[in-house]
Amino acid sequence: MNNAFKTGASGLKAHQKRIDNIANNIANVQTTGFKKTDVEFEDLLYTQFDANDLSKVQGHGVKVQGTPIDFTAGSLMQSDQALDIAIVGDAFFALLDQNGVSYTRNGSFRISEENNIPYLVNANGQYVLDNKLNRIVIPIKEDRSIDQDQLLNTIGTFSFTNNSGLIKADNTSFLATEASGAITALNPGDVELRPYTLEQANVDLGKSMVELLEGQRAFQLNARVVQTADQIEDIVNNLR
Amino acid sequence: MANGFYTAAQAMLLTQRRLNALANNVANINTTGYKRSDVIQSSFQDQLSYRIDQMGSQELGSIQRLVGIDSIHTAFDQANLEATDRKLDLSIASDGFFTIRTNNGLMYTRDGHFNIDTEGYLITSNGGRVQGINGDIRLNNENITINQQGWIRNDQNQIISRLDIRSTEDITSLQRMTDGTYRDQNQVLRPVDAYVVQGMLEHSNVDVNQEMTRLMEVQRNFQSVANALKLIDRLNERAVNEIGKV
Repeated sequence: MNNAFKTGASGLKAHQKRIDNIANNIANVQTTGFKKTDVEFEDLLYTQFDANDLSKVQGHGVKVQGTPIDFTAGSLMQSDQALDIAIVGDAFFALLDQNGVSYTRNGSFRISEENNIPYLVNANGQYVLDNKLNRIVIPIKEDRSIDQDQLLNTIGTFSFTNNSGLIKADNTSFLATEASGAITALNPGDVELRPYTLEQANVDLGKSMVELLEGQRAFQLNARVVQTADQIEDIVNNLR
Repeated sequence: MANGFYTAAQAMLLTQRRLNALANNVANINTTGYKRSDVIQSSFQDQLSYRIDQMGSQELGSIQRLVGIDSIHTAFDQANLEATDRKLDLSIASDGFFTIRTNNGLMYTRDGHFNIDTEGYLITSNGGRVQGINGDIRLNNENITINQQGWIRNDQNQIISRLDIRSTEDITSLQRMTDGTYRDQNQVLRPVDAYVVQGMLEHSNVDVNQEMTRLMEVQRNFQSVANALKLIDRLNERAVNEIGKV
């Protein structure tokens, strides 16, 4: 009978999730290539409490329907590393490790030398792939410096039919799913690769703070509902 | 004699229902496209009261013995639109609903947070297919533009379809379902010219101040009715124990 208890609790749970999510966005405000997530709410089932009147329904709260990833580009930041590469445009780098291929916008790369062959890797040691999904051997010029132009032409970039279908592998890399659709390997020059540049997180700190305040108030209000439902139960218990 | 007792008990049940409706509004304060529901309270039909004595009966006037729920009203007023800059986030800035084809038939919603499925169709977050004037809407990618009249163009500026947006004068006959959808069991919805906005989502139209005030009101209301019930109980107690005592 006292649905308000459960309904209020569902609101608390959903808004807790939202605050957790905002916290993760804020925590990653300095993470290169981070894409923020939003929380999507949906109302739960409606039950009828008068068999003769379809309009007399009662709702049962809220649930988190999903946490869609926001793929808008972050702003670009200058860096002094030649192997810090940012993608200008809608595309991803491909990474390879023992778990398979994942995709990222984080272009903070390094050199890993194995048996005297210099491979291009990222900070986690995952291999960066070219557009045929092979590991990249860094081209070295005769004067032992890196051949930047050839490297930029070798690094593979990939685009998806539906970015929203990607799921997060970790905070900056994504896995392709059935929903993300066809993967297209782009030709060199289709998107601009800019060296000495990193893509910052697309988290807007001001907006996140507003969301946090809003989330907190919503949480509070739901807590008040639970409290009121409890007090009403208390009144009922003390009727005699 | 026990009338007051039942009236108070009924009022307690009713207040509980109002709290439940309010709790649902508060829980959905951040749900896209949510429309708040209000409990409309009414008194039962007036009943005439008579005093019966040896001379016959004499009319005393009318009283209302019980209160009940007249209806649950869904407030369809427009909520604020929030910019998301996502191409597949749509909102309607006028009357009307998006038409969705689901496994349970056609449903209608104000929640315009859409996606593309594996076959390239425009879907809701629950997988229902958004309907255009020619049925399901197939997009090649999410680079689409939608104008105010709901015409959808792809990145080559070719028209793909037009959103099937429907509305009705008789909006209260829509049946509320889960996930922000409505069912049109009386077939009253007709296509309308709506005002579609791309890159924005419609907030919930729950007003925090109003719900907070109501929450306090409901609580006090419940308290006073409970006190009335106690009082009547005490009267009954006296009647039983003290009347007729020597």
